[in-house]
Amino acid sequence: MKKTFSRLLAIEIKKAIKNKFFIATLGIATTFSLFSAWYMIDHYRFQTFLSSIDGNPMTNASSLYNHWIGGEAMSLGFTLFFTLLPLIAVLPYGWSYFIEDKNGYVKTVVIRSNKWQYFLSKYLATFIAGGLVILIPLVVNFLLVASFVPAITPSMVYSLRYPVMIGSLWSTLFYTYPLIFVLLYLILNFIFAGLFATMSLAISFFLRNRIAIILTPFFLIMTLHYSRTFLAYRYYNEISPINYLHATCVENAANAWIITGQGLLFFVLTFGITMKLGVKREIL
Amino acid sequence: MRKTRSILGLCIIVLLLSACSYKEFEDSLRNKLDNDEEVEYTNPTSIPENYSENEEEGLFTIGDTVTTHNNAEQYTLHKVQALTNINEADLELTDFFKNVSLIKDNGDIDQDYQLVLIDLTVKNLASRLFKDESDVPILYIGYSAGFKSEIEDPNGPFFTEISYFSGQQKVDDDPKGYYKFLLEIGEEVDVTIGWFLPVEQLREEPLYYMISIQSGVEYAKYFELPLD
Repeated sequence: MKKTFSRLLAIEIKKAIKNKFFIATLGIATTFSLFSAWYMIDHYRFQTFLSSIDGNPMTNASSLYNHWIGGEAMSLGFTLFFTLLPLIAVLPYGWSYFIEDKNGYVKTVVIRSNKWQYFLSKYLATFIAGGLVILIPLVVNFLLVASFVPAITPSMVYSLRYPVMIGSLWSTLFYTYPLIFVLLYLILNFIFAGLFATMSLAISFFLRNRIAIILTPFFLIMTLHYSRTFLAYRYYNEISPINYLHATCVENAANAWIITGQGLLFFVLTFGITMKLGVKREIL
Repeated sequence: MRKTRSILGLCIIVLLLSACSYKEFEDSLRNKLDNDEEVEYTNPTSIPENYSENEEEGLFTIGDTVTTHNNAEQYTLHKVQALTNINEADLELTDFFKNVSLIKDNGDIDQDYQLVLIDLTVKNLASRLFKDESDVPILYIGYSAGFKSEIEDPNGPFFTEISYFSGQQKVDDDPKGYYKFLLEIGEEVDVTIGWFLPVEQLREEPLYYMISIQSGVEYAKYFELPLD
């Protein structure tokens, strides 16, 4: 039984990662991250030139941790990557159940295993594909920027250059062990990108249009993103995943409870809907 | 396929290492898109060419009395001198609040600079915007002097702030209130102010003392400071 599941999971992951949508989306997301790297490396050189002219060189003000895509909020690459993050996460494999249901592939799999195994492996593969398509460009960007910009530990003296506010998620790590901070943020991005991807899987049970299945999670997240404007100047914690998935604060401080709460809510909804409705659904 | 990937990778590395600035390109695109909202800056200052005949408009010089744009204060310029040693004006190192590093122990000023001192009479006509605890009006001495090229620079005006002010009074417990002094309405006071300015520029360009810039640089009035 376990063997069937692990084989099914391996097949699903292989399908999720070795399809042209995954490759194309990864290519686009990596391009965004490369443009951000290119801009910020140029920016670093420009700043180094300026500080070499006269006065305080402000060596600690520029480091890898405010030049990689998770630490900067000024390039076009950053804007495109984080704004389209929910869409990028969905594109590789979020639509797969809808297609497989339509062309009858689900029936052939369920006959050889069972519905619970099929939907669990589908959920995990979608989650992994969504997570990887975001994680890989972030890692590429981080490594590329690290090749040009020194990894100086951020200093609170330059708080304008390092916008990680007091009380913000893992802020103490940022100013002491920034590499661990970045690693934790990469994991956080992987998890949330995975959850965004599984949203489209859950939505597949309600909608019968591939474009709608792909776009709905994006619009839901964008609704959440813009709803934060109702809380402007009233509530100073970040509620938008698009903002809090960026390692340094874009607007408000990232709150651990809000992130955990939203993450759990997304997981319960997506996993609950997929497993409950999937197992209940008449396939054969 | 592998060849294409290698070429693409090589191109990216070459682009990143090259001098061509993607930042400049992206910034220029952004500026073009934002162009509608941006208004190009123009320096609103211009130094009058002709000397004043009515003490209201034009260029002022020694002996002239000028009222500020808001009609609150009046400045009369008496004397201008350029010194190479602070002892010539009976000044001490502690009298200066800026550029002290230019003064040597024997009072000599760095050979590239001179101390330009001007004697003024300042009268409080109606200035009462700021007051100290005993209700005496607080005034701010006009502290700006500049060369023509600096004042009329397209991105300017640029000017130098005073390093010495004889009438300085620390009011409001403000440790940096270098330019403040107390003066009742209707009263006047004789003061001396000074700047450390580059010798070379003093030889080549006319120097101007600007007052009334608190109302906006476009309302500045200019005293020419002749150095013989």
